[in-house]
Amino acid sequence: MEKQTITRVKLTAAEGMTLTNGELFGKVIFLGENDSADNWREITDEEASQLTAEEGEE
Amino acid sequence: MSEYAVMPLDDYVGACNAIREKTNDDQLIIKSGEMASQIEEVFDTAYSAGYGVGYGDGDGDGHKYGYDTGLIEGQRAEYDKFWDGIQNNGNRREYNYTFGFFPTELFYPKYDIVPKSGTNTFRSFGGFVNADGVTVYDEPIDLAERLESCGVVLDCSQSPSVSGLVARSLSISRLPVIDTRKATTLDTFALGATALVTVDKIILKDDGSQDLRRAFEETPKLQNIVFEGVIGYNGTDFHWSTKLSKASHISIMNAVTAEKSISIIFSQTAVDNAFETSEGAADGSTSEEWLNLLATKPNCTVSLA
Repeated sequence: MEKQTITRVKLTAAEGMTLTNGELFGKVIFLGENDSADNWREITDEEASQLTAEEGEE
Repeated sequence: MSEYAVMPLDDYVGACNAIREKTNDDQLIIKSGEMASQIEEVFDTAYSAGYGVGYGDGDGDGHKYGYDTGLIEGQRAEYDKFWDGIQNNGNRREYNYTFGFFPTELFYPKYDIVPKSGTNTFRSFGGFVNADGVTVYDEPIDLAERLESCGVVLDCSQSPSVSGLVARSLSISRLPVIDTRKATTLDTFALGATALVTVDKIILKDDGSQDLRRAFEETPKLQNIVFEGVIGYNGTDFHWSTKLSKASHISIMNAVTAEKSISIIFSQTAVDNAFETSEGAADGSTSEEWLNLLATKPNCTVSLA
């Protein structure tokens, strides 16, 4: 039996806000081991909706 | 000697009375001077009855049989003509937009669908643009089941692209196994397939080189999907799929590459419900099971949107 304790950095957006790294958007972010909280910032939900809508129509 | 066998008289009488019984004629033959005419009457009755039945049945049932048979054969001939044309007698390999806006009620392919080129094969499948310019869609069908009922398969294993394969189709609820190992991209594979609930399996390449970022954009009803192979490149995004099952989340994470930094987006609603610790708790994103799943791919940034 192997037991590991994995540490994950979890970022949670404040109420009415969304986290983004410029490409991805989310309310909760579980950072990968090579990712950093410095790569992420909060924007308003409205801004996030606008940006994701601009991502393109097919 | 007469060429006819001579039957004893009693046997003749017995035979005639048997015929009378069959024809419901209760006039028995009595041995008498009238016997010859009585026998003649029997055979006249039997002849009329047999003729009537034969003619009636032949005219009624025979006609119906002929009509029904002709109808079936005619329908078959039209079916063959239609699908032999569309599928080039089974030789078609280019299926670019082939079933776009194709009525589901007519989709009964005769041959295996084996694209070797072309994209968007089922784009807007089941859609119809009415006189007002509005696109209306047929009720969704289980495409896997329909293909199976026709005894044919959708074989994408030789296709260099499955881009837009079922994009904007609101009339497909289930897809069969889709082998994409020859495809360089799955871009917009099921974009806008808003009726899609189940994908039996997507077989990816093992090198994680395929683009799946927008493959499942706007698939709000998607619940069940299985992956084989590796999700790499720029990850993928399932945040529209708020009903995604636990098994599907697990399959996706298991397919994610462990070889490089990558990002996957899920619906927070889907994760909270799929991994909830008790019915109605909707706390899945904080559950041990979910966190353990994430721990299997420490290289992967997971966003819950």
